[in-house]
Amino acid sequence: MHPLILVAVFVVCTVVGYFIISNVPSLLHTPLMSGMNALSGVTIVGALASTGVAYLIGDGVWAQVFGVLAIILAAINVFGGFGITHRMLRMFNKKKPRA
Amino acid sequence: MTWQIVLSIVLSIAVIGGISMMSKVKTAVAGNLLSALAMLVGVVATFIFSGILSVWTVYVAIIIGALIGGLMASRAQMIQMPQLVALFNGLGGGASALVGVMTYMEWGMNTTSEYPGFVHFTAVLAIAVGMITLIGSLVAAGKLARIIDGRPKVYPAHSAITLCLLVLSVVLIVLGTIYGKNLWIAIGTLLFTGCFGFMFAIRVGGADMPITISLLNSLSGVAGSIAGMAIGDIFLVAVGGIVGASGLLLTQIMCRAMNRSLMSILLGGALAQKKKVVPAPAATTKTPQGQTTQFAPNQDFEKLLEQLNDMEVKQLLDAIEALTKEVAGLREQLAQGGAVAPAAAEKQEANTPSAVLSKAKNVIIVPGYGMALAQAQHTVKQLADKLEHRGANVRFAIHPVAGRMPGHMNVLLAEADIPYEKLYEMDAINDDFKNVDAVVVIGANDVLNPAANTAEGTPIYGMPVLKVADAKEVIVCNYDLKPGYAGVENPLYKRDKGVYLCLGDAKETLMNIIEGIK
Repeated sequence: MHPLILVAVFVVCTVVGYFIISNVPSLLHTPLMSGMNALSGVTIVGALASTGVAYLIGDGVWAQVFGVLAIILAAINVFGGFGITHRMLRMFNKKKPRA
Repeated sequence: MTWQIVLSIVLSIAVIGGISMMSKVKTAVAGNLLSALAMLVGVVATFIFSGILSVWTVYVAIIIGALIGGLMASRAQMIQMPQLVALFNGLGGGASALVGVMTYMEWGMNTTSEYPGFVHFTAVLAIAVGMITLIGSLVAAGKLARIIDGRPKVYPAHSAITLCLLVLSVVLIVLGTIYGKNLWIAIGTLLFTGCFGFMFAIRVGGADMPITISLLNSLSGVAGSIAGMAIGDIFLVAVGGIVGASGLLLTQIMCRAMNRSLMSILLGGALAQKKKVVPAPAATTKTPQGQTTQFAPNQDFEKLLEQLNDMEVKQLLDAIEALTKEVAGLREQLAQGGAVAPAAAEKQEANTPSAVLSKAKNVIIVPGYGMALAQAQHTVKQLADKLEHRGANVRFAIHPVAGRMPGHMNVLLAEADIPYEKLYEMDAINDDFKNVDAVVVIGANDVLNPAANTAEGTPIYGMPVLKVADAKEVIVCNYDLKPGYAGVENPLYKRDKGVYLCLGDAKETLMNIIEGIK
């Protein structure tokens, strides 16, 4: 992958990311923050790729330890983050008369 | 490769959709699920594209992480929410830092990159940003959980040390870009950026923590994105970038709600400790960021004002002390079953909070962090129910920064089954305070302190507050009369008419009031 493509993707996504939310009611600040926190655990994808390959090509023990640790940390972030966001949001909805 | 790119684009669009759906109440749950689904597909795709389906160790690692995360998320109490979000966020940053270390050390790479300089640079940068996020978030979580002192802490030569660490980190990033695969550079970067994260987070105080967490949240997205650049994963770059940018925007929205600039929050603790006039947030008009107008009064005027403030504070302190004694005496008398002393009765117009509420047809309840501390949200619900049964219209006024994170009160009140249609944001309800029969304040102070409009030079000056002071009858259920987090006395407490102070644990005082309503 050419660096320029990667940087371009980054720039485009930051611009898009900056405009997708506006006028968020403060009711949703916390769940939104928590949801984006879960999304930042996307680094699990990187951890998986690196660690998986490290195992396949038989890299040293340090590579494996770091890799497994990275996956565990990212997985806590992802599962915990989405879980707690869902819990929070469900509380807003459970007393809703319709839907 | 092309399929990978197409899928990455589709998933990124799904994530964008998910985040934008999460900014509306109706679609928020679906938005969260959509984001989670996109992530799941991304993970499965990574397994297939990287050809690592056969590596069983990674499954074990995922399951361990999922169990820990899932358990923490389902067991945690709602009041622990802020520190939990901070903790999760830090771990994500830590994972990005580890990916950075692995890439930098060329572990887990079956091909060498054609662009080693770019890979080295982004890998070391991922270590740096990830590590700042990890340590910064841990400090924030510790402060919110009260494991470490929540007040802003400033060490001697704090700024100089922080700057040194920053410079050292930059030097290491440059060295790392030039010399790849050097264990000492990796360790050094971990160490110095970690210390930097500590120094930067430790000087931020409790009430400003939410904004710091939001900022760190944005940073962890950026860390993931940079790690994605290092390993050449478009999906990671895209989602990290989206989270980074929208996280930053959310941070700005929160800052705007407090009428403060990001810089003054990051440095605010240091300024408040020195008891100096806070320069940055003065006299800002309500326009989008960057268009704030600032007045620069001449220094003599500023000095004079400071002296005036000191005098006023002294008088206030005396008045409050007298009032506290009086209230304590009253409480004692009440406890002994005696009648309220005539002098005090005259002052309080022979009314009790319960009597006021019994008559009230239109009530606004203002919750604050004290409600969270006392876990009084269910008692608040009882009060609201009782008043509604009597035909009163009960609404809740939520200040954007009430509690320890934005939306904190909403989460707690939702936990107590209070429908969110009854919760009103500050701008929607602020003009109604003067029209209602009674206002009940529960554990809130700074967010309704009228001094924010007048006491120039204090940390809350210029912050929009709830106009509780406009109301005819105000019932304050606070633990004590000490100033709130911002450290500014509340002149409302010494108002002669229509203010009832019910001091003590909010749960108990509220129960007393509820029982008294006939």
